[in-house]
Amino acid sequence: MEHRKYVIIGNSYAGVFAIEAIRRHDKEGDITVVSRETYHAYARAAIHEYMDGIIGDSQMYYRDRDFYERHRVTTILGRAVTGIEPRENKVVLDNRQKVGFDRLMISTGGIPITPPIEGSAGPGMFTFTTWDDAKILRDWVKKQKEPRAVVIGGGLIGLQCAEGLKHMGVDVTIVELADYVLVKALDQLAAHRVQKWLEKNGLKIITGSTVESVNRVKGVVTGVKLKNGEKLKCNTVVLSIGVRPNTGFTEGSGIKLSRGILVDNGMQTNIEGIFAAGDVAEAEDFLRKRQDVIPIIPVATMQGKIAGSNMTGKKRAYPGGLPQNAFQFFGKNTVSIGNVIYIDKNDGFEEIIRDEGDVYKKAVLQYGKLVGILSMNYITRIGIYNSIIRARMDISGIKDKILSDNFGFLDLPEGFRDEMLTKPG
Amino acid sequence: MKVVYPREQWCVACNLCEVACITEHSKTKDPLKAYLTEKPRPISRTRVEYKPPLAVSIMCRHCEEAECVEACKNGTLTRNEITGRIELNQDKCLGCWMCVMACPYGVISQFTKDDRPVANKCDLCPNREIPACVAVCPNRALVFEDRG
Ligand SMILES: Cc1cc2nc3c(=O)[nH]c(=O)nc-3n(C[C@H](O)[C@H](O)[C@H](O)COP(=O)(O)OP(=O)(O)OC[C@H]3O[C@@H](n4cnc5c(N)ncnc54)[C@H](O)[C@@H]3O)c2cc1C
Ligand code: SF4
Ligand code: SF4
Repeated sequence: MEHRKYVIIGNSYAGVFAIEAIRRHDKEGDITVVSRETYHAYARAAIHEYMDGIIGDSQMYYRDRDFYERHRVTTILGRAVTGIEPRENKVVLDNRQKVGFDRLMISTGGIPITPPIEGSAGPGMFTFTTWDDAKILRDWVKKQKEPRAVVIGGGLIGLQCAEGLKHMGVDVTIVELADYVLVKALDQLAAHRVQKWLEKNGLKIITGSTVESVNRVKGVVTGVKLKNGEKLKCNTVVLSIGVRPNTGFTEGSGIKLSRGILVDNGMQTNIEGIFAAGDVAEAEDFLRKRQDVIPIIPVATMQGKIAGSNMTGKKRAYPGGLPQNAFQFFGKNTVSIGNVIYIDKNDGFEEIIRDEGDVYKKAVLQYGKLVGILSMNYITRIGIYNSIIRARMDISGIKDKILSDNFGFLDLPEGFRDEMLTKPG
Repeated sequence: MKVVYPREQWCVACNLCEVACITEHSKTKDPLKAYLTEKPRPISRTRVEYKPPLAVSIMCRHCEEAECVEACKNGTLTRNEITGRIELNQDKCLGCWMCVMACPYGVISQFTKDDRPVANKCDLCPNREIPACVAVCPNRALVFEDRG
């Protein structure tokens, strides 16, 4: 095997899986990872729990301290890539240093969307996607005599941040533009239940409106004004209306973008030798069979793994990403997998619902195949549905059993069961 | 690598594997004490499904490309590079249930340790040559094999 130079931009979920995949197949090549953040790989998706002190440093690091040494990786941390020169096969860093590569992977994740809001410039305004963001917000809140926060955006990250703040004794109001929270993961009924539960635990939620301006007196945040005219007093504003693929530095490189960096089913961009994975990449969506950004951990890691393997010359195809998430607020669990929202009766969709007391479950079928599952307050063995969706198996014959609490492999066709249970995983 | 495979046609749902698993992972190693006095009460890492006439006991496959590892938020789940086993470090676990959602076999369960929610799954009994469930099964409905 030729001696290759691999460069990976981004030191997070996708980057780590790419490193592990490269080393599995290529023991010799040079691997360099560049990250704008100074940290060893960490659990970005747990920064809200770090902020309120539920977890400490030891639970934040994604891999052992000797991970880079064991995988013989050179790290360039605390340096941002500012450009890519594909003709020279080099990336340019913010100190003008250039790093050459034979194979490059871009896994720079997402950056918070920050629309222009009157009065937003200045202290008291925060975003919430990095470990440093969590530390800065925590330190700020601790300095406030009567901490009052407005969180703009009722998506997963906004709500998790809000819960973290609440645990720290902050008075929190969430402002969500849509009619209900978690619009991407839940249907209306489930969202209303989550919302009620959050309210019961002391969070205030305003839907159907957004923040028009941030008011300041002598530069200090005193409150926000909403589109509907309402005014809220606060000293802290967290902007969390979503993230977009972090692609700015690719400008001029010739790398093709749509919403994110477009990749083929080997995770390669339009330029040979340059790959992309994770929240920055736009790859095949398993259900809808079209390109999309699916900004979740299992997608980032799987893409990183496929990209890493292909960078070594091994040929692996990406099976497509499936949106899914598990989350809990104040101790109650919800899991949402696949399509639980879009239902068009004219296109073969059908929904099955079980709504009993605390438990709400919904299965969505399309032409007899499972395409989505939503479950609140009962998630035992929920991963089995993941394999049923992936198998694109007709389950119309077992519709009446699919949502029962003891649903399992014995309800499924023998062929499928054999495939799953008698072969290596 | 060797993992535990069920042989469905031989399982009679006697649940001895579950009892053996609980005992093996208890502090006292005594089934009665484990059930009655230990806090938290250990839970079985294998689960017997029983829908007469069918029965089968299912636990972690230690997958080659483990989806639980890919979904885990903070690296609590990792592959042991030497043994190939998928290990779960409960001290690190966040109880976020990303792994419960991701495991296609549905074999990660929710557990409470030191008042913290943590994930729980089969560890292939690291202190034994043959996992306790396999050793106890009277019908050889569980086997410990390398099917490559
Ligand atoms: C609070 C919070 C909670 C979340 N909860 C969940 C959850 O429960 N489940 C779930 O599946 N997902 C969750 N997510 C989303 C999940 O964190 C992302 O999908 C995941 O982080 C994507 O990984 P990635 O490797 O693509 O990129 P990222 O994790 O975004 O990492 C990007 C990397 O690129 C580096 N970088 C960026 N720009 C440059 C540059 N110009 N030069 C050099 N380096 C650069 C960064 O320093 C970083 O190392 C959550 C996210 C947040 C913020
Ligand atoms: S927990 Fe599930 S996904 Fe993880 S190794 Fe075991 S069987 Fe595979
Ligand atoms: S519950 Fe624990 S093991 Fe499972 S994904 Fe979360 S942190 Fe990882």
